[in-house]
Amino acid sequence: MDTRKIFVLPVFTLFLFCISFSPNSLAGMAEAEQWLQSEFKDSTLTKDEQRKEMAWFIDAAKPFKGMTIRVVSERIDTHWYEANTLTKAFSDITGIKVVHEITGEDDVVKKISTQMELEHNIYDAYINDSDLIGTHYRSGKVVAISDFIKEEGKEVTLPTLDLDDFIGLSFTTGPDGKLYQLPDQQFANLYWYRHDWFSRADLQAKFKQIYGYELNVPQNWSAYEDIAEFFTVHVKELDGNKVYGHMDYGKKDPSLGWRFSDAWLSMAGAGDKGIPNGLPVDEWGIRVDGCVPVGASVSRGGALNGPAAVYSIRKFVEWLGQYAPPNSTAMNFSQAGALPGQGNIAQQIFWYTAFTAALTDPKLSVTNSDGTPKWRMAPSPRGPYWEKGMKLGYQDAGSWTFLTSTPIERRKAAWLYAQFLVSKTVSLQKMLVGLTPIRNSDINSKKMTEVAHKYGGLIEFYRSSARVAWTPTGTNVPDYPSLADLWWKNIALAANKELTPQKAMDKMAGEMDERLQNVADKGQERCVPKLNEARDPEYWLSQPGAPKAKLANEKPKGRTLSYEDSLKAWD
Amino acid sequence: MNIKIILASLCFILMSLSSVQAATFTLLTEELPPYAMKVGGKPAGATVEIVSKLFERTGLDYNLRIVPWKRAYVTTLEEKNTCIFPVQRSQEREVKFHWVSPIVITQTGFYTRNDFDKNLSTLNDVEGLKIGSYKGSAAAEYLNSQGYKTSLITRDAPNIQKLKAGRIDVWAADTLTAVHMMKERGIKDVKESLVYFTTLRALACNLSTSSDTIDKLTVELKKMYTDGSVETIMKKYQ
Repeated sequence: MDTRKIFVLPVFTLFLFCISFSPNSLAGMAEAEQWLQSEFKDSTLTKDEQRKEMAWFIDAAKPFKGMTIRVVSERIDTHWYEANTLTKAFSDITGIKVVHEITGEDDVVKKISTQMELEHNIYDAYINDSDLIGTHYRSGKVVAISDFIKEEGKEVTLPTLDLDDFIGLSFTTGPDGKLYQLPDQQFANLYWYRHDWFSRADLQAKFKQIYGYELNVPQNWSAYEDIAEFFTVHVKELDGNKVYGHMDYGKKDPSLGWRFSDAWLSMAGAGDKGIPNGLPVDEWGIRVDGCVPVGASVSRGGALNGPAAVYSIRKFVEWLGQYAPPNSTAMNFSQAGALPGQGNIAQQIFWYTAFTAALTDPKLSVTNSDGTPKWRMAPSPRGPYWEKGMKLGYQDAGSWTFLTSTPIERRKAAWLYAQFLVSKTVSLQKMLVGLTPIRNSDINSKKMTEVAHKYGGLIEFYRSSARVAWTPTGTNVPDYPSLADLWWKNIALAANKELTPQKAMDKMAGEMDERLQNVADKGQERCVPKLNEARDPEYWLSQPGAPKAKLANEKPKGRTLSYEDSLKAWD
Repeated sequence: MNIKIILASLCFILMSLSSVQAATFTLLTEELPPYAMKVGGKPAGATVEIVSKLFERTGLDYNLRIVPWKRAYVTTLEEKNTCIFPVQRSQEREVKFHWVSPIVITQTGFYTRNDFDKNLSTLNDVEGLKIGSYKGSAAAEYLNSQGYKTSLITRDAPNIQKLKAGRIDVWAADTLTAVHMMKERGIKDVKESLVYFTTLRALACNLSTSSDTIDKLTVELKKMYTDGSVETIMKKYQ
């Protein structure tokens, strides 16, 4: 018999015996024990610490037993796991039933906006991307969690929640220093490439002969462009299959906007320095004065139609036309997402790590027979306008959001469910299922070291210093739902060559200013937009920082590094 | 001034005036009790009442007709001053219309026989079960998009008999429609097992509709929610 079991069983029996006589008889403890033994085996807590955490949930949930709460989140593996498995665990342990609905993120945003607008309770809580932090902070309709846990939510706040352990709290904090959302899952957009192809001596030699430097992880957009050209134009075929040096998508569809509002301009270097977002000009090109948005067009001090932004769109259009598969201009996000797994793509500059699990399917040609990937992810290359101290990529932080229009008792019950899903008892197992880390303790756990080789560099990225430069949309954006559609509607004009990149961005910047004015006219609780007077763009272009003047040379020499050094480059 | 130019200008002004006066909206919906149905030959129902009141309060003239969904959809895509309701907004549809939302917030649930003993608490619980719905329903659309197989027929009502006869295990239906159908037929041995999805349904208007009109309708709709008008109408049908 296993010696651990000899000790564990009597201790557990004694524990159950003791709690059965405690004044707070823990009715769900047997159920909790079952879940701890079957599902939550991997945790940074010891079994006893997990039991204590579960005992707290059982006790705190008593007033809400029998209640059914309803929450909603976007459609990714992590949330499916929550909706189908963790709701059952929570219900078994606490007696609170949860319907966890799954839908597209656009629908989540429409639903939360509707509830905020109508003050009519549709859901008891939302897992909503932290990109809306600027909206939430200004609306006055979102509960400040940092206040809630000290006041009416004090009794239902988990003592072992350990907020300092979360990696994404800076994304969900308003300019007033208050926490408005709590991250439930996070994933990033990184550079993706076929490590097996890049390691081939014949391709390395050929690349060096043409471009004069090593075929490796590109550090700037020049190298990315060279590698894209190399595979599409010079290599053309590998092992009898057509190959491409780039993949992207350009269909006029809301999903086209995500690519750009998430991080494209920041990757080129369009905004100012500042983590998590550039100040005073962020990666949307919106300038703030204090916390007040004052404009997006260069003529008002913004950078949305500045040289760096226009350069980034020009490169997007050129690469899509010259190096991506021929039909990619007509694809949307979902259609394009499947392509790297089919084995014809050498690299992709903008790849969401939420696809990690899907791309480690052993049936795919990009996966080895032992299940390890032939590909890797690495920090993305920087555009010529990017400078140290700036945000580079995007990190999605789906975060628990509570609205003031939700009745307090329902909000408290939903807060218990939210904390259960991010508790240390549950979070490591959830990370193993969905690969969307939220806690430092999980990222640095022994378990993640054991399994890191399976995930193509995901764990290495999250453990590196690079991580801090990957951030969501920030607080300069005052009303995300009212402004976001401008991205896909205008970028599509450039992608489909109806307008030049300069004209598309001029049009978009003008419309963004108008929308900012509309947001101001409609009114917000705080930090309401107030547009700068339009003046000669040269005035702003000659000031330090964003908007930045056009560089004389937008294509410096390509630079690459080995995979290991590409991570160290951020130390 | 050249007489031709004067005449042309007059014609243009007259045509502009007549087009302003002729801006009567055609509002299209399908037969879907209790949201939309004909009572005494006239359109009635929850969403018919909400949309009619919305246009009246906004001061816009309208004709409301109940027609097959496909015809309503294609007509709204092609003809100006036409709107369709209640439509679920999706990324695919987003670019095709101007939107006023939500006309109504609906829910979809799983219905089972009273003697069905499996506890349904998540979507996963229906895996392997035979789910019945009808072609083109939002319930089926959602389940199919999540990879669940559904057994579809042309009308929803016969699903109740199929459920009772054990030819399907679960009936996926709009909660308001299901209750209405069961009440009408005196069904007592079917129960609601899990309400699994909430949908915002909108008024979708032809792309030529002015943003000014859409804004006015949106503002008025919000007022109808805050002053309780929508709730009062919905309560009549629950």
